[in-house]
Amino acid sequence: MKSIYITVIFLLLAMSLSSQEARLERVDQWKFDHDPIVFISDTFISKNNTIIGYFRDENIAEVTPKGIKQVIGIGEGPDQVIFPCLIFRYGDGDDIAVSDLANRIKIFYRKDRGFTSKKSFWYKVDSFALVARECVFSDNKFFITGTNIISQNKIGSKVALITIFNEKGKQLKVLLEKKLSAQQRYDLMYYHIINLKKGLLAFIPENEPTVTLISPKSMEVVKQVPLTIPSFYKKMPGDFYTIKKKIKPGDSGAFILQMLETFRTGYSRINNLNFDQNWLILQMRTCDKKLKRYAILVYNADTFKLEHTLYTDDYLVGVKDGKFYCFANGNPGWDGEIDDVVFNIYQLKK
Amino acid sequence: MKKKETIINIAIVIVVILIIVIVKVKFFSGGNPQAGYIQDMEKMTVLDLKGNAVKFTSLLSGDDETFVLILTVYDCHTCILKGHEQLKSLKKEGKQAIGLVVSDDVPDIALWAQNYESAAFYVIKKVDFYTHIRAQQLPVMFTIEDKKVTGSKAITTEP
Repeated sequence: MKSIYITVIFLLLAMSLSSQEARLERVDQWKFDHDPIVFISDTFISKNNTIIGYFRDENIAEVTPKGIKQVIGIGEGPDQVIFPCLIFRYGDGDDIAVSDLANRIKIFYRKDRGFTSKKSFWYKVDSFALVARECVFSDNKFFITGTNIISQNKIGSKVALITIFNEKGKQLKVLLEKKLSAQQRYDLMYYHIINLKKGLLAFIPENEPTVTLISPKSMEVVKQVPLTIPSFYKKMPGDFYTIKKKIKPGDSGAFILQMLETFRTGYSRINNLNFDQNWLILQMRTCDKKLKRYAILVYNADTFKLEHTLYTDDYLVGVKDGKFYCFANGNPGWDGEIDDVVFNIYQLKK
Repeated sequence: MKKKETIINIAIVIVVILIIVIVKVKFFSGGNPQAGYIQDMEKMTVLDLKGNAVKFTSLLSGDDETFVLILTVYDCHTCILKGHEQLKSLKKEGKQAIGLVVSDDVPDIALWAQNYESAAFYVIKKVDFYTHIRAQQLPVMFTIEDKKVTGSKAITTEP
């Protein structure tokens, strides 16, 4: 009888421990007396544990515990960019690649506290143009995500979601082809891509929690894995960016952009994709008033099993060495005006 | 008194004639408005994609018109493609057609031009561009005949 009691107590104790949810614990905070930041995108954590990315008023900037400093300015000079639309890591260090024109990728090398550019690549795109969303450099190739129209007619278009170029700007291959209706042909959907592990890329659309694994060497899809998602998930419709359905003749461009932003914040859009410590980490909106604004979903990068669901109001800008770097209170571009410029750094606590 | 009236009448006639001439020249001249011009063409030097200096006038056709597309790589992408298509079709027609890219970075333009192999591109340095060329906007296509600009048209996204 006594042994049964001990067993029950042991089981209850084990259950209580296992059901204890992981949470984010703040380990550092960088607070700056700085003009409000208008928009943040394309961020990653450098080797020196600083944040590098696009901060609209600063252009391409580096955030350190001391402040926010512009590292690449706007202009036609050799160390400047014209209109940065994609910023990503080039190689294993802190060198940066910036796509700033319709078909140029400019490489910037880390030099002391700044960056200097010595080369750029021009890739060929026809008049349909490639709506570039994200890019990774792997196996000496650029993997650019975004709708690339291969052919089109009155009925619709055939597009590819990944376009691969070599360092000479030659298109090597397109991957993940699909058909779009005539209304959808200028699809603005975001597609995330990261270097997952050595010899493997992970691709995920903002509206579909399915990870596609790609071998950069063979340029082939290895497999597709649907991810487990929490119950709050509110799926973005596949024709989300089919704006022709939602606008009326005469609607201004500003109205359309505002409408897209409103719709974008109304669904569980996948904001970003990260890899750290054998975790595949993504952040999505909860769209649930009872919960915090965002959820960070942590998956095992081998099994793709959901290991942790972490809730926060902060916008994730990168993950490194188990530390989650966030901008406090959301992304100002989507979550309204945020006056305080505060970066919170968290660690996962079980 | 009569003399004064005559003078006023003559003045009115002169003013009316002037107005007619101005209106005719301005609105009914029949020619296309110029999108730019090139001055001191003889003194202009451009660079080939290896960085060698070339006299601009040596690139012009001796007995026929030459088409010169002037652009920067920062211009609207669709306009660049449109200008390139025009160069291609002019070349097909047997015309002399070249592109001049405004830049101080010749190696970068050489890389850029690899995507437009079917046209001959040269580089004009920024200082030379500002010294010799006036253009309302870029890209612009100049027509040159007998070392004189006979036409110029901005390349836009408009059909």
